[in-house]
Amino acid sequence: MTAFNPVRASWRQLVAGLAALPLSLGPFVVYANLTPEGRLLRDRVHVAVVPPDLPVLSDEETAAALAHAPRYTDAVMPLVYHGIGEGDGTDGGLALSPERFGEHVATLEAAGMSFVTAAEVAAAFDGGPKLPPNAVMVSFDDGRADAMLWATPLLEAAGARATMFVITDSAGSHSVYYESWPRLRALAKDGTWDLESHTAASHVTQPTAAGELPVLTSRGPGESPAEYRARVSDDLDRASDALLDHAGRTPVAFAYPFGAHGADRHNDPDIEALLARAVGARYRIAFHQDDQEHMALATPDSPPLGLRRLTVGDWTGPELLARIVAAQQRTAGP
Amino acid sequence: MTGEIPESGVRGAGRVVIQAIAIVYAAVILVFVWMSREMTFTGLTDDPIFAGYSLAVLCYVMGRFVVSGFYRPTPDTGYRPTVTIIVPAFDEAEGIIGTIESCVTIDYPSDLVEVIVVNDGSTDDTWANIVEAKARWPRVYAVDLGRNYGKRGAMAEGMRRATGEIFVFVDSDSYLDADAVAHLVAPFADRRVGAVVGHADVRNRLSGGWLGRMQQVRYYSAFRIIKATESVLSGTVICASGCCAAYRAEAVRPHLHEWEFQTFLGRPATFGDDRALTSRVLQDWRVMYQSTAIAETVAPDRLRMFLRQQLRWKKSWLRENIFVVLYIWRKNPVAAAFTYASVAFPFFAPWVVLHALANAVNGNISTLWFYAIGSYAMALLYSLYYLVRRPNGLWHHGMTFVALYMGVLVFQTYWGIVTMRDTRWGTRDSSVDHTAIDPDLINALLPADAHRGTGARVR
Repeated sequence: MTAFNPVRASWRQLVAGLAALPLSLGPFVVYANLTPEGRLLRDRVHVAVVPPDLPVLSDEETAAALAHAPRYTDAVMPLVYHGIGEGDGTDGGLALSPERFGEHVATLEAAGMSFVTAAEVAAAFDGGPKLPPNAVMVSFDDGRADAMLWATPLLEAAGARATMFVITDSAGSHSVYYESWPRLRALAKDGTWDLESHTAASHVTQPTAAGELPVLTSRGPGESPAEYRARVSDDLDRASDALLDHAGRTPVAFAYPFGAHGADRHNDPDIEALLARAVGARYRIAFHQDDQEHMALATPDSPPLGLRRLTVGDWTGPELLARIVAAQQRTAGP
Repeated sequence: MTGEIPESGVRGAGRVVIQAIAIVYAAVILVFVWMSREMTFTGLTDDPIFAGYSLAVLCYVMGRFVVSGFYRPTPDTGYRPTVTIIVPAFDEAEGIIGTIESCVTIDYPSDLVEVIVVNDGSTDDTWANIVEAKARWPRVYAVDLGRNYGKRGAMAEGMRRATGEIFVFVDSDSYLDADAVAHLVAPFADRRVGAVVGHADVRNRLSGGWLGRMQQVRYYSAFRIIKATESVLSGTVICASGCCAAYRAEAVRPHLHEWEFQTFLGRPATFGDDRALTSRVLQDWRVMYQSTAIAETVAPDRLRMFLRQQLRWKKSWLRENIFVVLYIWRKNPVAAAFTYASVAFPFFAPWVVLHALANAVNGNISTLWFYAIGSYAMALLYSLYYLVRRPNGLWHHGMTFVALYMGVLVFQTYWGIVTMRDTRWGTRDSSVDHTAIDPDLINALLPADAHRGTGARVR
């Protein structure tokens, strides 16, 4: 054993202490990248310190957006997004990056599109105030915290508004994945967000004889049609009550979980009619995501409980405009 | 022996840069803590005990930081009362001469200082070394009790023989800085002050392995944050640690007998002599922390010894809390809030750890993550504080302490309760019985001091 050398030991300590400074960040880096809470916390700090900026389009890009812009009246292009962020594998690639979403908002704005909410669409289709020309309804499903975190500053920067279809039980679940009621209420208050219904607790599937089916479009084992109707009515009532309680407004629009409205993915042919009756008794309009390839714009002549939304992918701004133009071309003229 | 360990801290511009980095780093951690408030608040309804505990600990830690920021040591304005330094010694042959030397060479008017060394029936060469020291410094008052009575007996005998207005206690493994006594007595100029505790650094902070380094950082925050806070709050330091403490003779004397023969649960209270004495004096007097009075103390460098020492401290903490909680609220409401929180936390802590582990086993790992990262953040804040004050490279050992605390020490509270009646020291075999000191066995070598006859005594 060598003799203890205090001078050497104290210098060694000094070097170790300096090295420990960057190393001490390790646990925070792990937490911020490998856990959902850590990621959300990191993103919240990111948005608070450096809010995402709406990209500034070049003159050529703006000119191109205007040249290829869809032009229509009395119709709306409903768009659906899910998450914004890095995506953590739980959403099957349904999350877009904040930059991509910002590009979409900026391009839509440059193309002269008008951002409307589901409530405005419902009112217009119901004989209320007409929709502005080139209306586009940006919507999100599920009430995810990451979506509202990143989308809010981008929407605000463009003066745009969007619709969030909230799973109301999830909003009250204190999960970090879903935005909580206090934040939802605050975000709805300044008008950027329209909160609508995505069921209370029916965004799940159940095992049936016909396979794993969405609970909203299938009868459980041994469940009678009357019991099914009572279950669905109860769930939709709870969602409406929760939105009235926490956000101060009864929802007028509905988005079917998984886009399933009973035309398929059911175990009883009567379900489509039963579900339509339950939905129609509570909402003016409802959205599904069927048939993305032959998507048309939604107009007052569309079936109000069978409106379609375009599931937005990882597209460039011009690609998004091209999709809307294609939908416009498929729309029957007035 | 003094000055054994140099401390090559960063100086000059490098020091400022490191301090700036540490402060910015701490600020960033606080931003993240602030941003996580919502997650904690929503957790309040979901998991109230866990979230409440997290919030309370956070408030406690930040509160201590903030209040300790107002701490200023009492300046030495030349107040020089008569002082008796009392050194109880049991089987300390190796270090006793160094300790005595540090006492007799202090920077204080020598005619105002009395040094009493009490040999508590040591089985080694302690007494021989004391006699040797007395030959070098004749003004030392050496007392051999003739048998082993335990530390309290030795301290009490020292106090009974002491003539000073202020008693300074130095453990036989502690070393006072030359100016420590002058600084230690300064707060006594305030008539309300009954006791003062100095600042303890770990002497073997470099040679003592990771345990020595860890305890150095731990001691620093325990003194400079916890005791400083208590000192700011109407002078309510709850434990004037034995390694460097001073008492006003007048404040101690009324408690001397009861303290010497204190029993708890029918057993003699053998350890926690320092905490027991402070909690008695604190009832009627202020107890201050004086950061400028610095002592070095030898900390255990083996894990087994460290854990035994911690368990002894935990037991005396448990025992004395029972008295302190009864009167602390009268002294200062904020101090009382801190005290009640610090009493409650260790009882909750093991359950919070087990709860987080149980959640993780049941598939909800987020509680464990939150607990782990939250504790880590608090540990880092304490450690960065050390880095700012002492940029010498030891700072990160503060996190070792928190890891050890969370892994092992949190469970000592309940273990201490279960084994409360076991009053053996564990580290050395000293007496566990309280026997009245037999004057016939005492061999006292009076101070050979021309300036101070027995007539100067103020008994």
